[in-house]
Amino acid sequence: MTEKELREQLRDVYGDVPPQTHAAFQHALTAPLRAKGEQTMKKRIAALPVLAVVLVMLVGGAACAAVSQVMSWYYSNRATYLKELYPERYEAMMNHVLTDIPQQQSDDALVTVQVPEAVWLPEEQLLVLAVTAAPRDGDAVELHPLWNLDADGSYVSDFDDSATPEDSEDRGEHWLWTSKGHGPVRQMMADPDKSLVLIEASEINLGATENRNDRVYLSMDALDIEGGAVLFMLEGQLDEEAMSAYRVADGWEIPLTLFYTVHPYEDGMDDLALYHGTPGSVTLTLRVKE
Amino acid sequence: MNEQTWLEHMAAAEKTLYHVACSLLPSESDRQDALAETVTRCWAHRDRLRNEQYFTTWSVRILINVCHSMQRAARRLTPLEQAPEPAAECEGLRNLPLRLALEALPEKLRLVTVMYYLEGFSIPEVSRALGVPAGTVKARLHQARGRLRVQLDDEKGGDAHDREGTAGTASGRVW
Repeated sequence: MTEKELREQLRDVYGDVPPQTHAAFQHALTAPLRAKGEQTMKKRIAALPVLAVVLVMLVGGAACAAVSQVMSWYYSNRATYLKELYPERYEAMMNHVLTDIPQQQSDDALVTVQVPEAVWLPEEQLLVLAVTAAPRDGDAVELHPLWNLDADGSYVSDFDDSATPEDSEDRGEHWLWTSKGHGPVRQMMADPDKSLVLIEASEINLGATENRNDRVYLSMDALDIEGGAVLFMLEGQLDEEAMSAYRVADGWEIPLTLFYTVHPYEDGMDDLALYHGTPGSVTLTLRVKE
Repeated sequence: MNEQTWLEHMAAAEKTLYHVACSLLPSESDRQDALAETVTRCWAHRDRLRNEQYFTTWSVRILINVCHSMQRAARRLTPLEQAPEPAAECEGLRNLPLRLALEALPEKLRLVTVMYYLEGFSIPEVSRALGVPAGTVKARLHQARGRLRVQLDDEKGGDAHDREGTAGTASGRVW
């Protein structure tokens, strides 16, 4: 077999990107992944309570606009690509932000997890959830997104023995990405004397069941926000046929369960233990009027 | 790197990233997750890329790390009896003998084969993407060719090797 023949046969074996995977890739390109302006977001979020008070004082009914500004800010600053490429979708989302969502968190001694805002756009089959998480004991615990640990993918455990000293980017030490920058975990924590807890949330179940076997993965972006909290923005296009089950006379009523895991971090811990988080969930119902 | 440039680079790398994911992950849904996570990380760390001409190798490197993380998690979370079979296959495949031969390759050899022969990476590019010396890449390619040859010869009844001889590089012959 010549080199040319091998190349051709490999092309035959691997083929093109399947349509569904291509669609997922394209979706990821436009998903909330823009990492710019995080500092601005901290300032904006810190200002929100003040802004809300001012708005309530000035215009009684305007408080709703203020509480929906986290999602609005997110898509206007961090996930700018959506607004620039799909302005109609962005406008539709901003016009359908749900707040005051009835919800119930499972017992959790470490973190409080809530869904303060959500969007369901039936015409796009698009679900967006804003999820906030905060430590119950902020004096003892510092919380960060799990994905902020080794966010560059350069952590190499002894699992990957292809790593060599020639590659300066490989490291066997966990690094954490925070507002201070990125580097060894304890150096990047706001208070290295606190316990570090990492949290991840990217999957839901539709319906009332909490059976994880039916889980749906959503595109996820996570960032630290003011007050030691973490914000997750979850976004996904759902199956039209499956969603038809949640149609009601005057709109939509969508029960769902958000799953999350918390991962207490310990110095020198077995890296693989990070994949054994403690599970938790939030059950909620989205009611969308038409 | 501005958003538009980043997007163009990322879109151009899609097929390469997919093929690399195919060589590492057996499940199509895992590949989708890996690609999405790679996109996210490539955006978040675009400032670390000093030279745009290395975008593809850089993004492949990130993808490989993501895939390794997923493999690591799967090994810890999936009971052995439920673990998926290792496979290089992607959807719509043909050429069963070569596919089986690729599946039989160790991951490291399959990876360099895909990157070098399918994606057309140079030895230095593969070296950079994998973070291993160029000599290691050459050695892995050599081993991969040898194992593929044996596998495919077995499929043909063992006479192909005798007809073709060994590694004729000047003529472009792989073996």
